[in-house]
Amino acid sequence: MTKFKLDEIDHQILDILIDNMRTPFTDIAKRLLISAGTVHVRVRKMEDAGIIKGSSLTLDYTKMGYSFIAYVGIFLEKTHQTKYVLERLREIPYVTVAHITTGKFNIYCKLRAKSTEHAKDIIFKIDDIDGILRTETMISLEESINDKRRLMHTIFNDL
Amino acid sequence: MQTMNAFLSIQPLLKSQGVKGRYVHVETISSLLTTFGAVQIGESVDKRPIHAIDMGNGPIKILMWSQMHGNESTATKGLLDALSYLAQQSSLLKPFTLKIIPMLNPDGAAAYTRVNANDIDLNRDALNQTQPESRLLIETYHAFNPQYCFNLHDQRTIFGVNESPCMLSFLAPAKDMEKTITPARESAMGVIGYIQKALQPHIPNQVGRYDDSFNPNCMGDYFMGKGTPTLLFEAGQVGQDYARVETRKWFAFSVLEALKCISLDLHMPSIYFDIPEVEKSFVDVLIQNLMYEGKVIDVALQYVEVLKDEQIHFVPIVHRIGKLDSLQGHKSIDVSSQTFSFLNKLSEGSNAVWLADLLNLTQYSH
Repeated sequence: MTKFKLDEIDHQILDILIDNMRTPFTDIAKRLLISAGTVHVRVRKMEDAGIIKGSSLTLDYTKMGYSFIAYVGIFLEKTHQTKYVLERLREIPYVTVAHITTGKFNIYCKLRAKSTEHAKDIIFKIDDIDGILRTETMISLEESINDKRRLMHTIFNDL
Repeated sequence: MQTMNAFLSIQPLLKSQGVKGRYVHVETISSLLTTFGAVQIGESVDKRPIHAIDMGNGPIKILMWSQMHGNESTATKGLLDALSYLAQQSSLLKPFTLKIIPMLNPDGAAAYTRVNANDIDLNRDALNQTQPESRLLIETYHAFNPQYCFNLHDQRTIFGVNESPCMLSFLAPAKDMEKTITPARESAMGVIGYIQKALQPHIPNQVGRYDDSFNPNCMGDYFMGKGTPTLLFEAGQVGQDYARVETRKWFAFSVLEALKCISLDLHMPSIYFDIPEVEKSFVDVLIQNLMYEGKVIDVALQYVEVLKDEQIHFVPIVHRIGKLDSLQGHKSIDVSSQTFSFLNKLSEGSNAVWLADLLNLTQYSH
């Protein structure tokens, strides 16, 4: 990426959007004492530059009944099966994140489930994928940090 | 995927995982006892209930008991993990009728001692049968008439195999001084051989064969003498895992593999004597090259397990002083480059908390 220059106004707009992407441009304009048109232009400029890729939905999984989080480390029989196994994992919607990692495991993934029982069913589904030797499960007791906003603020402050 | 690998996958999700820590007594496991429909079959010297769990109604009868030594709780937790898994894997349970006494010595468990409330080691009471707990085990054995017995224990931190710490050890006890290989002993050896083979990919070099000198007062030797293949399982110490969480997992895995071996007749007796015998080669902490009173010495510390506030505290005691080249430490520290000023005297058998503090050693409690 070519280095993109942000001025003070861009920074202030970003700070507000990082905390709440759905803040109306008119509210941003009011808080920064600029016109809504300026906000629109600046945001558009940052989107065109590829800095802002879009906004995503933040769901309260617990409210939706998905309060169980576990991490599953996967041992493969052979590493050339990685791609195939990842494709199979993609078919399981409860697997929300998967990384190919160094160290003890070949793949490390995160899953969300409704309950222990549900998690067990999902893990057995994972176990059944060809090429997986075995897995190990780590249960999340509490999701203490899951927040990229601090990183975003830091990145933009350094820009 | 193999069934036992599936156990490894979901072990943290099992209900039995609610039983944690080294202090495990009747109340700790009471909700699981209810889950398994355990019934009271007798009581201890101090009138605590002793329970048995019945599972399955297949043709092969196996009697298992744990915590006949009250402070050996890893075995019980591993056993409960195995049972929780079996309860949901009907195909694995199908060939068996299991009778399980998860806590034979509830008084010792409550006090966190090896012995029972009369200070008797129940595993040295097979012939005398002076204690209600040992009598209950023997009565249960005769009434149930099992094809196999699993005798489940924890071992001390002192055991190693070759250069490694010994996580698990097994024994097919002898029935006489000559250590005759009877059909019963060969059968137990065959199951242990199979367990060893199953464990090797996972915990290579950490499996040992327990000391097999004959003692007719031990339950295993006694039941073997009656012609029942009896397996001793010992859960041991590796590294700084004083909660024995890893050990627990592989202990449960071993119980399950043993069942699989028995149900499918996969005995491998020839492997048995290839398993290295355990050695008393480890200490909890080995401090090497300590400059003390003008001499360079090694100091070995052993933890004494003290029950306080519902937890077990690992209190270091000076075990040996000298040139200790033959010993290994679960933790070893070379302090040759450091100098210390000693306020206390080093003597074998004395409390070493001050020394542990001086060296910034972690103080464990579980």
